[in-house]
Amino acid sequence: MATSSDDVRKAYAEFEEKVKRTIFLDNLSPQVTATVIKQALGQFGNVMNVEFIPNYTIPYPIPQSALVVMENAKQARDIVAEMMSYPFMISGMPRPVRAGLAKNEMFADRPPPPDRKLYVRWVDTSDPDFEAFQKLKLLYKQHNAQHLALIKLQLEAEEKISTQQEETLKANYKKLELIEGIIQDRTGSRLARHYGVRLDED
Amino acid sequence: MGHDLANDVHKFRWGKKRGVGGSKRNIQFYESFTIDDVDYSLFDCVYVDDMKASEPYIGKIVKIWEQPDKKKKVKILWFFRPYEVQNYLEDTPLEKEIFLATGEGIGLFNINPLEAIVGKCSVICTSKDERNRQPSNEELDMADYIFFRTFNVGSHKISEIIDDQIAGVAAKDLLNQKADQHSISKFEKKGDSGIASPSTDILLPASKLNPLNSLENRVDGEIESLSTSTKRHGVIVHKSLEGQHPLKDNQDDKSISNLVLVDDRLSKKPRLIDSPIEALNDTILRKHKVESNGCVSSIHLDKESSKVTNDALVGHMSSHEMKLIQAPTTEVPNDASSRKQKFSGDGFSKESSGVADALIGNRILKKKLIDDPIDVLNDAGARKQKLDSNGDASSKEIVRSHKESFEKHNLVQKKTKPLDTSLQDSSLLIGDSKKNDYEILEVTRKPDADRSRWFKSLPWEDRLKKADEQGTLVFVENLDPTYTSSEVEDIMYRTFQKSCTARVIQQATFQNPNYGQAYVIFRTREAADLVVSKINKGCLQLSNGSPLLCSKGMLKVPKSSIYGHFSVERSKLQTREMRMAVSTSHCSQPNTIEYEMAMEWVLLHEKSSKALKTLHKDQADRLREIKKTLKTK
Repeated sequence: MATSSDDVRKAYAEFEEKVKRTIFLDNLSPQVTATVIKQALGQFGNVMNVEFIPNYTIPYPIPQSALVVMENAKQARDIVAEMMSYPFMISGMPRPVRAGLAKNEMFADRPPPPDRKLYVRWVDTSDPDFEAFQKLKLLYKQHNAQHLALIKLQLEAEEKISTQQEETLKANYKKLELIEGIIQDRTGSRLARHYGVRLDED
Repeated sequence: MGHDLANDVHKFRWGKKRGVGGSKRNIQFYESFTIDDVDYSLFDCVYVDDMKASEPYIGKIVKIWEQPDKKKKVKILWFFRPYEVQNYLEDTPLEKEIFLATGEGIGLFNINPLEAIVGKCSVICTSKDERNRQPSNEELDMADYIFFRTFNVGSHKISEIIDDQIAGVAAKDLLNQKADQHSISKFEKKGDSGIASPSTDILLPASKLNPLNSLENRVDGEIESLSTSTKRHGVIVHKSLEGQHPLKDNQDDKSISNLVLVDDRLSKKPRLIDSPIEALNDTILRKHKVESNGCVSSIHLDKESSKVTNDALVGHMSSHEMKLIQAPTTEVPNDASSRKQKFSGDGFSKESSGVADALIGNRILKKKLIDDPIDVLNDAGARKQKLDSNGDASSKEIVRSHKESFEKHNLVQKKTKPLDTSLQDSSLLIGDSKKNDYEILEVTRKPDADRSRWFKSLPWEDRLKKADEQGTLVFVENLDPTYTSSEVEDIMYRTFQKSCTARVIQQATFQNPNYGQAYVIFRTREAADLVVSKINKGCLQLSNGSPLLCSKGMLKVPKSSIYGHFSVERSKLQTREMRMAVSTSHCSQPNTIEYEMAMEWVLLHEKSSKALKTLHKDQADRLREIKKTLKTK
């Protein structure tokens, strides 16, 4: 609530500094809490604050996302680099969490840039641009619809890959169970003896 | 906490001194003070927030002073909300009813830091007690709360008797305030000039002349100033009456009858003509003004003023005269019927049928007697010239106040019939009156009048839900994505003079980076409705060339969920790496099945973001193309 322009500038600089040391985490499970994130990222640096970004506008069940403020910009950069090179999982697998550096627009309480002047004006029906503005309004609606449709498609793709993987996993478990069963009821060792193979290699 | 800080930020000014006290005579008492241009006087009702309760407490200021250590204190006599005394309540309390504390004991009053006051509140006493000035229907409508019963904090009894003294305050100060001399003299002055017709139908159409000008005029924000408003209204009333002169001839009848009416009403409604501005403003604080002044919105909008006049009339005028005055209000059939209802409920049942008749009959009379408001609208241009030709320095002021009444007018119409075509008319008129001169409003910082910021407010999520239920929530779209929450608030304030709390939608993965969106919470449902209808019917262009879009209420959003996380029964997890993998945070190693699957996801993520990026780039290009064709930049 600073009034003088110096204060505004200072507040804005402070904010920009904060953005630099904030990472944006996406594809988080809804079970993930701030504590979980703190623990997960604690191994890379000091987590100062965790803020989840609520979804108020997308009419689909999308994963959680969060802003995590680290102690300094280097820590933030390192975490992002680490997570880009290895799939990192928090509270759930195999879908990894995605990390990136935060942007100004991700903060709802960001201060306005200093010295920016805003204007508004009422455009009236006789305005030569009135038509264009109606078009712009429509365009917005159209773009929004396109945008949401694409998200829907992507979520469908996610669902597909998710079912696929689940099946693969199940098959895999079955295989593992089978092997384990054979070994436990000594069928394995009997067979090994029969074929003259050494089972335990060490 | 940061009260001192708050003082630095919020404009504070002491009002009239009242004397000194204390053992060393070093305590200075005051009669009033001003925070951020809102006047608070002794016996005003206020909201007090202690940051704990979900709803602020309601109390009456009964003493104001400053201690030697510069600490500002107020003594507040409490009101109780029904749920606070529900154990002692034998009947169902009225809507809006609260209870005045009385007796002796804890909870009667408290001494609070002055900063604990978060806003004004309008509380009207409806007690039939003879010391109490009986409130008008209008006042009751505008009141946030009413009381006629007291709650004794000692004996825990609820009673209708109001003691002569409560907490050392005389009952007369606790009941509705009587007219004060000052405003009466204002009225007499007006009466002397002989043109005291409440110039409703003149003010109103004129109000549509140039809202933009008026907007510009108020950029300084001092329109908010309650302290100066009284003075200014005096001026407005005068000047507007002058301006009305040339038009007045055919309305002599009406003016005269109105004059009578105003005079009759004087003792009861000292500020009939007062402060359209406050009355219009939707905030609780301003509503309070209504209570403390006994001002009845005064706007002289057809509907409003007629209600006032009706009150007066019932007591003083023949039904014939009533017809005359009623006329301007009866343009809308449902309007009339709604008034009928009001009347039948207000204790004047004897007259009410007559009134209703008058109302119905009047629709016919109206055209002859008084300018049809819409007609008047149409020759608004002509009016304006007349106003201008007065060469009056105050015309700006008039326009300014007109803008207010215009808003209220819209609002009222909206309330009574949402699809009224005249609303459309008027929104078109906004444009016409602008004369295509591309006036551009600079959005400056709004005065930081939101005292609730002194305190931690409810979490945004809860506020959203509450606002959605109350109909005060507006979803704004097609913003510049770089706009911040406070800038959105400023835009709303500068364009509509409505305070609001805004919060932009954070740009996460699934937001369209070409467009910004925000939720805006207004103080009242009316304000929200007005803003939505104005923005969607008209066209408000922002700095980046985009026209604003908005809608009421909250978008329905399902709970968050995620695909691609498998919960497998623990017993099934036979391999070590699988067992480790669940519920831990870790980097996957490249020799596991998990890693393979994770890679599939990474691939999908990349694809998705690429697709979104491509779409958004296309959209941005298209947007730029259209914006290039704009003739005005």
